[in-house]
Amino acid sequence: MSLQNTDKVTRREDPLWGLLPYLSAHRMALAWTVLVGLANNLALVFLAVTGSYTVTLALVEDELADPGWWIAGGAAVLLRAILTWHEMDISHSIAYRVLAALRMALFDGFSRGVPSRAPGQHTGRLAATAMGDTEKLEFFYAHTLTQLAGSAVLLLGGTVALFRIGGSLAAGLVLGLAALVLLTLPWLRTNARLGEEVQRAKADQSALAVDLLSGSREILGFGLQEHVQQQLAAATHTVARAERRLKSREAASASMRELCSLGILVAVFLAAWNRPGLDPLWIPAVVAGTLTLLSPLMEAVAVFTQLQPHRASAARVLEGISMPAEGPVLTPVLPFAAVGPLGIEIQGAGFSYGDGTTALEPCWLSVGPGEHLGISGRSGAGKTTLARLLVRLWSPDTGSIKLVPSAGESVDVSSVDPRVFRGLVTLVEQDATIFHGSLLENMQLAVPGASATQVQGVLGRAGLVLDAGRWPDGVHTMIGESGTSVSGGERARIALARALLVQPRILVLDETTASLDAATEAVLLDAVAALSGDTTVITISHRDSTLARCDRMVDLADLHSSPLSQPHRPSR
Amino acid sequence: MLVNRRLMALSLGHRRILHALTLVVCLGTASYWVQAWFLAHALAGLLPGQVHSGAQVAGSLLAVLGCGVARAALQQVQASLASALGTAVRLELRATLAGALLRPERLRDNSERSGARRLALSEGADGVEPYVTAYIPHALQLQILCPILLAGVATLNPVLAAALLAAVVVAVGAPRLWGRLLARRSTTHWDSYEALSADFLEALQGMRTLKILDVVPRFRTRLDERSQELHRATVATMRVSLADTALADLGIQAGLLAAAALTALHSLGALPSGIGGEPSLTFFTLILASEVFRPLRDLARQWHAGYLGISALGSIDAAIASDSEKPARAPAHPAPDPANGAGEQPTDGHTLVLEEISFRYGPTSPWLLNGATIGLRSGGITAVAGPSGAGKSTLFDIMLGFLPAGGQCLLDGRPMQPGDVSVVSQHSYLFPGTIRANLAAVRPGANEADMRGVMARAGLGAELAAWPHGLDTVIAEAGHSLSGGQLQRLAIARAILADRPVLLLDEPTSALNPELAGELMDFLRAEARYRIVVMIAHRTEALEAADTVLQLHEGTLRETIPSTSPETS
Repeated sequence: MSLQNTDKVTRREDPLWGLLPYLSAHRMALAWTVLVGLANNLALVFLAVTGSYTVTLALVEDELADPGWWIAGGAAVLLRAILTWHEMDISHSIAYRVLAALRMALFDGFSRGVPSRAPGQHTGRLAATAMGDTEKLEFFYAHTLTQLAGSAVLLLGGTVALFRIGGSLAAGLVLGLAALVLLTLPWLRTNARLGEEVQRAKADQSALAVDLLSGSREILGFGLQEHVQQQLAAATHTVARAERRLKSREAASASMRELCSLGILVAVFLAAWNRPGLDPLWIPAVVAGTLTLLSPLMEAVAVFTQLQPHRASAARVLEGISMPAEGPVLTPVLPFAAVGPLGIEIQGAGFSYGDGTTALEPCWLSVGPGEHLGISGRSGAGKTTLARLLVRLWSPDTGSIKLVPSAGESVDVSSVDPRVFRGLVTLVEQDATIFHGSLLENMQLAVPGASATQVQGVLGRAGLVLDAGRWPDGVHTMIGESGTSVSGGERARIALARALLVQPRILVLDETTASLDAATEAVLLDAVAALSGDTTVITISHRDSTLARCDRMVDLADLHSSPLSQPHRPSR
Repeated sequence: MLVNRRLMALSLGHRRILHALTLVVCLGTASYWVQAWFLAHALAGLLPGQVHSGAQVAGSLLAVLGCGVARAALQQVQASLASALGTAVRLELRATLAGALLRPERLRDNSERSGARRLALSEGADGVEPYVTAYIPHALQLQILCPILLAGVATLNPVLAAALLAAVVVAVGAPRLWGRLLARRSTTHWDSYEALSADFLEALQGMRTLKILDVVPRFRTRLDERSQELHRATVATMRVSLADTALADLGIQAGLLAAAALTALHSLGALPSGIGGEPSLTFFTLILASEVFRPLRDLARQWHAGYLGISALGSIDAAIASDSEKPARAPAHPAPDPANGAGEQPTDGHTLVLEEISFRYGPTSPWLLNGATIGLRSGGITAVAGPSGAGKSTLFDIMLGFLPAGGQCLLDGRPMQPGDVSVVSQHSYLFPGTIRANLAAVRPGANEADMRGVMARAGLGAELAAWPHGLDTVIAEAGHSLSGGQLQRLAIARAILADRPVLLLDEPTSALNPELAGELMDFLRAEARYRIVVMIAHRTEALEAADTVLQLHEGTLRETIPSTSPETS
């Protein structure tokens, strides 16, 4: 029962248990898996008992067992085959469902917490590791967890059954298992450390492979092949050394488990022998039954020793799933139905990261309706933060940002209905994601009903002409398949086209041209310049050539001082 | 029949270790037979009317424990032999792979496949290890021990042996009847499952875009639906394919029950007798009957190892396979002529002429380079510009003699040799060892002053002075101890030290700040007096620093004046 105790001690902080609430929708299916596994093991115990009993009966009493035994045995064989199949079937199914549930929960966590306020948190990297981790955890929740639960029940039932035959038998079983757990636990930490060592060595080896392949031109050019071979061999030896130590320890602990189970066998044997009340006919059956019962219990203990790496995975998944909400502060929604171009009034809006470091000093800025404004600034000044505040990915900690219609009341961005707001203001990021799928599907993300002609038109406006060589299926060309990954210039133009399709009244461009060559930059900026006075454009860039195309240029550093000294020129 | 022939071949060079390992595995299993003998005697001692004393029973039980201890020792030997075998096989395989991958013709592989090549070199070779050290010994054990054990049982109870043989055939054979067909079908499903997983990852990483476009709920529903649909389809396929496990189990359990029945009948004298008869022999027979299935179960436990090995084979094949591809054309460089190689330096600078260079990856692919012609001379830096994918790196590979191309490269009027060119890649390879060793590798005769001089000129003088071991500073594995910029400058220093008439650089300033980049360009300009310096460049700063800019456009080279907009897209 010590298994259960250790569970309880660690349950509070253990991330493995922390993820359980996210799987609660599948608890009936999980419970069923436990039951099936249990029935499967019981059928096996029954078969072992039947076999020993019938043979002993023939030996001692010289008679063949009752036909009932043989029928029941045959039924158990069939049942066991069916249960084995069913158990694998449902545990695969559950594994997929667990995987899907964890992924969905991660999706929800990210939809709350991205972009994250924590400055050091690289959510993209967290996503990659957490997605890998869910695949490791899937087996734990679908199989290991139910296996542990089933074993606990089996242990309990087995102890009770043995106790009814004789207290010393039950005591032998429980004491033997307790000894096993006590002997196993001290090994856990070292095994976990060795496991990490192996992983590290393998990661280094993998990094080396990358280095070799990306540097192969130099290796060949200078004839360094000999050195490469030596280095590879050294990396292999490092991995092998770490693995050897781990495996020899694992073999030792497996041997220890086996010795414990032999010890239990001997103890049960002796206890049964010294039990005058027990018919000797049954002793081999009891021994065989106990032996069969022991094997799933031993496996459970073995599994228990291998949980450590899962904890780290669970912690990362949990981090992604339980990301704090970073969305805008909810304020009462005000009706906003202004027509015509919109201006922006930023009044002392500032923002700091979760740890208190300032991301954007309070700043003041007016942008006239229809104006094309360029914002420059040194890196780290908060240009991207400002862009995110403008499109309400974050809410400013201080000050406010207002939409200014050409006629009527201006209104705070946080009090506009979110759906309406997304149609009014949009942002093109430097690293905007182009999703796997067709070009058309990507564009339809922005406007679900967009037609192929519409999409082709808007792509053309953004400077992307779909020539047949590069885009064989036009707007239906799949992105990300057979080498059709998009280049930086194409990515920027597709993202811009996607934003234009929204027909926003305020368009924010955050370093959209940063990775473009001069010609592509010019094409893209032509498209932006062609937007009529209806669209207000805020272009954030460090490139003079990009900023030169704006009506007005400001440096972010000049916006922090006095709101009244800001030059405010009406546009055009 | 149980072992993949190609994977088996990988262990052929280490037959003795493999045989020793298999022997130890078999001995471990055989120790269960000895244990069965003693357990049977102990059990028989319990029965009424037996002559066994308490001491005999206790002795038998001690012997059972002794078997366990002996097995523990055998398992340690097994772990150590497996490690020795695994290391040897991996070393050999990696050396072969690296040899196959580090060949000029492999450079043409596009970046998509380089992921697969990395996989072959790291995880691929590691995946073969469990196959060779676990799956193969257990498969051999099955083939060795099952017949021996069946023969043993046959001497005790011939009918039982026949029944067990039938059960073994069912357990081993049944899964093979349709396994292959279904495995293929479920692989397709697995692939689309992987694709969905990739889409999920993309959604997480593109969450900002989803939020800005206000499609989070819509995207969520779509992913959820797709995932459920795929789940249904996959489970339906798996359901059938999993039946083989059940069949194998049916064979084992039916065999064991039959064993009980036949043993009982045998002891009642209803069957033709073997030598069995005493209770202890009867129990022994019964336990041995279940031992027949142990090698089967052991092998089933190695299923994962087997799977890893087979799938690793895929990536290993991919890495070695296109090795057999023959060059489509004769190389631009003729065979090396030792009398006319590097080191010969005309005093009035060098000239390099590229004449009608043409290249395409396959007979049906479009021409990447189509009659590119240009003349270059030392004295200034030449930059090659052009959109990504235009063939800039390919042009370098042709100049290095790695790719077979039409046309010719003439250095000072004679065909250029690979030894005439030194190169700095975007990702440089420096091996772990001292800086001195890395530098000496490209020019064995270089002395201390040469090395220090070139380091200083490459902008590493201050670092060299600061490092306590100077030139004997060790570059840690994978270059972790140096910054990206230092690594880049060290690679350039190495390329200069090689002292070859042509120096090719791929984005040499990408890891440097503007100030260091400026210094480096000055250094390169100084070097350009002695050799032809050509670099691939994207960044405007680098293009502006070049004296000549070559525009690579639709497979041809055109010279442009650097100060104007360099790009035609």
